[in-house]
Amino acid sequence: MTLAIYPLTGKCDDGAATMRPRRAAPRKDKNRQVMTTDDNQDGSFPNDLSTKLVAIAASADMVAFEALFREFSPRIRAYLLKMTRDPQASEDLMQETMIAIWRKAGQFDPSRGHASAWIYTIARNIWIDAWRRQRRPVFDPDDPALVADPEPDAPKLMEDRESSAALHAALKNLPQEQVELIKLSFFDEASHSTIATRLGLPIGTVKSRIRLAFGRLRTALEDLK
Amino acid sequence: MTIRHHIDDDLLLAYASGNLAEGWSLAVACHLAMCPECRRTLATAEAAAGALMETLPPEPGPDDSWERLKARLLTEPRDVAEPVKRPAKATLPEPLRSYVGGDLDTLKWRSMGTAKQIVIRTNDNETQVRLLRIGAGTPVPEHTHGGRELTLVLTGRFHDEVDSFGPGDLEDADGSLTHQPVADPEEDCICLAITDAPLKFRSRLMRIIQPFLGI
Repeated sequence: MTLAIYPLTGKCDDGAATMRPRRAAPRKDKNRQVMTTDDNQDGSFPNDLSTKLVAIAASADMVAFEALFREFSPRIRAYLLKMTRDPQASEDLMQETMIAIWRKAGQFDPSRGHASAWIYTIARNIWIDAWRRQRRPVFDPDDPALVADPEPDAPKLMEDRESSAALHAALKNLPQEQVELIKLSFFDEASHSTIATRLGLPIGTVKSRIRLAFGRLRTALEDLK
Repeated sequence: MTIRHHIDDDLLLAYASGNLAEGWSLAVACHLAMCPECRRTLATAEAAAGALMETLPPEPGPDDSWERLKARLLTEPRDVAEPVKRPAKATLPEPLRSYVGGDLDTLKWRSMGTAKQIVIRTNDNETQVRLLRIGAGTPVPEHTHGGRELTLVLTGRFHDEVDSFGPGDLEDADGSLTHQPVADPEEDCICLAITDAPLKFRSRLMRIIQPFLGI
């Protein structure tokens, strides 16, 4: 069926991603600590994702793209299945997400954030366009009316392997119930009041737990800068 | 610009996860354009979402998933970064200019008592979005909070009995708030106001006269 009913419009939604200049070549790691053993215990793939994206951008590297597909597309599909609760739609939208990654890899800038965050935003935007049929207004980072950051380095999360490992560590250090609530916020098309009903908790409790969890995560990441 | 009223975490998470309707999202996106601090918070939220997506249990797909994708890649053009035309200066931030079709000096306001307004169309059916221009020193019109109301100040200031709101400030009010905001006397206050959608009437006549009745 159907690729036609999931149009890849996203005109309104590429602001944060579209205007980045192309990066030609992968950055070389300098004296990075290799942490592979630890990284993969929770099933995460820190920065070879980033390396692959850069290779796809630089040379339309089909080998890197297939490897990225094998590793990561089952997670993208899992995310989309949670959002749509429809296996066919999750497969179709995963395909659209992978196509968008292929086409837009040149816009990924490793110094501006995590590869997994970039992929998440692409999958999310495709889900919104296809499923909700609403636009998602975004700011334009190069808009003349944008108020620039007085600390231009602050938004850069720590680069590459360390930052990704730090993020996973920060998530691991949160109480499980708080992680679950953050997960529900991201991976469930449900309002906080629906989540509250499902968990049998007052809405105020759900909101304050999410706020607490998110605040701790933010502090943990900011402390690392 | 010193912003004192930011996007709270609930609202930011709803926006970051794609679960916030278009109308509310417009106010959030405009605040983000004006607020570097909240942009950093959004980056943290999206980083957390990406990291959590990595830990989701993998969902197997059909056997021919890769073959299907590969067949499409051969015909799929890669994006070439096209230069985007932007004005040298602007007062209203994007994405608002795109929604209203220009910057502040090109807008066609419609009178509404002591204030002026422009209705902004969105594709969601749960919000009503308006740009309001409140005359210097005059009260904000028809200010009853039936439900949630997000107000983002774009230029000028307004104040109420307890607080003051300037450019970039986002007021998030629920139905329990009763107050009488007034624009500061120095200049007109222009703000983006999002409210729960008004009642929907089935009668065409009622839909036509509804705006004039203010309901």
